[in-house]
Amino acid sequence: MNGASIKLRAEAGPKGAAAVRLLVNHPMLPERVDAKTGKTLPAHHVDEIVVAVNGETVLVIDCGPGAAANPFFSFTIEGVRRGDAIAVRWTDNQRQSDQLQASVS
Amino acid sequence: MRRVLLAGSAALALLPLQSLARIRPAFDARTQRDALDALLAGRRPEKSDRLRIVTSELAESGAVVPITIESDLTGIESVSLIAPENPRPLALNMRLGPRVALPVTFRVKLAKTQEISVLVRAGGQDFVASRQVRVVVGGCIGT
Repeated sequence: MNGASIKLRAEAGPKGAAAVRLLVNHPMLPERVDAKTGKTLPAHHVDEIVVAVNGETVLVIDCGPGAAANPFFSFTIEGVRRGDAIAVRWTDNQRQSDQLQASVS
Repeated sequence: MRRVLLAGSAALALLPLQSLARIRPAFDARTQRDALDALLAGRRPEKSDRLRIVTSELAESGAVVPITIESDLTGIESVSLIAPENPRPLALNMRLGPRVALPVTFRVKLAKTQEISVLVRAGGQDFVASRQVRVVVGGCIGT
């Protein structure tokens, strides 16, 4: 999906830490019963989001169906300078995935 | 030799994040107790006032409830959010490398009014803090 599902902003602060805001477009559907047919519909949600800086994994987020639709996160990564490469990759429970790389601004 | 050393250091850097391989079964748990058992493997969490759940006391919609976790504990390795009244109580788990520090913010679904808990592992110890959230309209969170 060429990173189209991911919005990522990482801004370097004064103390060598970057403030990161991350949004993944995903419906995050739980297993549920269809009101019309009575059939059980399978869950479809992001399982894992991996965040790496210059190739080093710094954060792994595990999600269940209880994470809200279009998962959003904000956090701080220390020891980051402007221009460092930050990469995000998600995979869901139906083996779909997407990834995006950006520069710290 | 140099190549061997580099490969070794890369493996070490990733190790802390991979060491919690037992996470997925905790997401399948249907009760808070089962989720805690899967996460803690018999360890007892300590109630801590150095850990805070920051959120609105009243959530108009349970579909999107923003939550911030704050703490002055050092060496935090993982943060787990548990909503006992949800069909699957473990909503989210974050495995933090040493470069990621709290606070962290995320959004969860809440089925109804309930006391949510955050579980944190820091320096080899487990800590927990809880907070009541009133939900006006529950999030559609399945079976």
